[in-house]
Amino acid sequence: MLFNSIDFLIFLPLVFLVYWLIPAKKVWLQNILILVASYVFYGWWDWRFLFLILFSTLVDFFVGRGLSKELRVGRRKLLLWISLSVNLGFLGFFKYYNFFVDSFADAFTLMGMAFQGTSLQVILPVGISFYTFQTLSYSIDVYKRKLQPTSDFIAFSSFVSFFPQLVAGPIERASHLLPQFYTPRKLTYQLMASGLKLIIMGFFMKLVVADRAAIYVNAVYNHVPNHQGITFVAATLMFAFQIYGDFAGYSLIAIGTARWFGFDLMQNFNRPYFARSVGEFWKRWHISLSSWFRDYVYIPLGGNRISKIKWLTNLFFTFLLSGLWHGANWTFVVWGALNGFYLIFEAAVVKPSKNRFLGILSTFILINFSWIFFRANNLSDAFLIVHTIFTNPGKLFLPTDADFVAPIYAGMAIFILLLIEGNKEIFKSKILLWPMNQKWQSMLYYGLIVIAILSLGIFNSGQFIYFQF
Amino acid sequence: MEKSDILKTFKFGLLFTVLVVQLDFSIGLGMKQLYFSQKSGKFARLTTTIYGNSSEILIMGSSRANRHYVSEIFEKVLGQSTYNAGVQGQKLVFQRALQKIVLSRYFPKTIILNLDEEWLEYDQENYERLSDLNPYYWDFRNELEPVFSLGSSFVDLKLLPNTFRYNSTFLHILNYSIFPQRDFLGYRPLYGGVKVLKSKIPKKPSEKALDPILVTLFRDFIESAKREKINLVFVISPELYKKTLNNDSKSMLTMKMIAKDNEIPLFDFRNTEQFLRKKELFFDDIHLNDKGSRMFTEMTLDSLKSLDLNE
Repeated sequence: MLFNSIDFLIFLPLVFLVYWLIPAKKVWLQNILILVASYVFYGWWDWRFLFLILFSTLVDFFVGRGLSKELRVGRRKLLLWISLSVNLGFLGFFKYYNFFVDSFADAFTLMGMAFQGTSLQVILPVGISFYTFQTLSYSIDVYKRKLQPTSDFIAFSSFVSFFPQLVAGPIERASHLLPQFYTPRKLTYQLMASGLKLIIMGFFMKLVVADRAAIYVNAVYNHVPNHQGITFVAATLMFAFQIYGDFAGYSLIAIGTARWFGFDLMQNFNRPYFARSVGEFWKRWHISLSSWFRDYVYIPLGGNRISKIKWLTNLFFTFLLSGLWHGANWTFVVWGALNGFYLIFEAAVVKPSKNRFLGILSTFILINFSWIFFRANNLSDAFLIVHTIFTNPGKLFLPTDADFVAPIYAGMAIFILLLIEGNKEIFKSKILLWPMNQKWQSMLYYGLIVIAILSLGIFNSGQFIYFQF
Repeated sequence: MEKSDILKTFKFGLLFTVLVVQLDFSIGLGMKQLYFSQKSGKFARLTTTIYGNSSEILIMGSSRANRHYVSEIFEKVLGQSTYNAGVQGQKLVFQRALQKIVLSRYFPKTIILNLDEEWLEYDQENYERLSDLNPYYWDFRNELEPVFSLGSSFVDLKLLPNTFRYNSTFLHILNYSIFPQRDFLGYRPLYGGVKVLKSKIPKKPSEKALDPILVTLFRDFIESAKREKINLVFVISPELYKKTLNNDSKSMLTMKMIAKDNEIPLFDFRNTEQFLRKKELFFDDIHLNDKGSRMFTEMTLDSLKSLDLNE
């Protein structure tokens, strides 16, 4: 089920009402409702893949139970390996099987040898990368004795499949989210109001910023040979805000929805385009994934407490993996490598600029350059775009007829977004963009955003980009 | 949840809902005024087709209809009032919806539908582009709801907000008021021409899967015209290059077959020598310029002579 669908508009209030009609003390009953609702939410897309979530849940639950009783190091390792194999096995099969088979075939062909790989018609289960990482964090934390394993199967299943963040995060840690399933939840006016504000802003970012920008971006990136350098620069800038609006928008809706059910989810984005270095950018962008890789890949590899060469290699490797996590395509691998390279460069060669403006600008340019690889349909397109930008600036493509309004609306929406974020980031909200002292002023502000969504939003563009990861 | 919290939440929830409804009503009303006061442009022509026009001959189709049929020549030659209701970018689902709206108000003597090659092929855009008819939905709900429902659920609910019905129209309205689009009884001429001819090799015709809903809608289009005793004529416009080898695409073959079964006259001007590779007659590969359109209109009228459109 998509957040931006009428189905969800009916589903959410229904679940909300039933949920709060259950007495707060009957936490187990509320958890059952969350579990059922989450499975309905996911099954709306394809019910067959519910068995995959259920199987992952069962494996990690029993691995956790096993780890709680097992003291022998070998057996504990075995249990952890079972969890890793099952979860990463599913992920590997559904997401990467064809990619690796095709890549091997290409590599062998290049070397003049024949390799007959069999590609399979595999559907990528929505959100598999997200819930796999979430449930893995539980097994690893229990293995490392950082977390007490749960004996409450319903609470654990609800944690794995919690519908607001099931398909596109934030990727929650068991230590943060799971305990919230044991304690009675309280719905306060504050939670409801702040949740609603986040949901409204999330929809604005998705439907007005991201989906508007997508029209221009798709027109350019899907017809690379027809365009010139300046157009690619414009489209890449648009894409920077498309992906931000899309993903941060989803995260806001998820966090807001979770609040309505009395849950607190972690912040996933923190005005990333105001970062002064690439390192800082990664502390502000997709925070739940960046910190996951930090805690479960980078630090176990030795973090920065090893030799400089090893440290930088680990940094690079972590970003390479992060790139691959985003998609089974070489474009994502190059994107990850590029970001890894930026970080190595920042860490070993050049310190980020102390001038705030220069820092923000240079980081923004570097990140945008990497977005070219993230968005391009394939590597040859990406390299052609880079080549064209530097060799053939040419003319800016402006859509004609009906589509001419798309980039203008997108530009307006991006401007508003930057105004709001810049005011918070640089001026600490000292500039009064809209009076918020009175409740009615705040209500009018959010009411007008709803109207902006209704009159400017794109309502038929379908899925969120991060669903495919 | 504390009782005071429930009351507070309920109170502000209600207030917020009332505020949003009020804002939607007022701003939506303003947008409606703006939308229906347009004098030129795509929306103004659509409004004319839907509320104002009662011409004897109605030309329907996509931009290729809108740019290829000179209404004034039809009026002069046939002595019947004519309006060109072609709408840029619109495909079969839209044509069927528009036909239903028009027929709910009056019956033209003749409908000329300009067919496009891929009209029966599955394409989500067919349904998405129906949004051009959102502003008219509640005036023609009975006609539009069944068509809108083919590609979407909860249509009534979605089109309840006033502002949503005018979604994305503001900049267009502004554009049309600053740069009015001149039309001649709906016909919008294109000036200029193709500079260089390309060497294009005809491709194999498309074998894309057909959308059974579109096939049904195409049959319904014919059925409605026959029921109301409207002369229906199908025309396929010329193209600059011979796009495909001798065979037609699955979509075109099916349309031709259905037309034949229903005895609907169909004139196919693709691959006509007078137009093929005549760059001076075309604005781009698929659109004639004004010179080409006038020539094509005359040729179409010649073909129509064999039919009695006065019935």
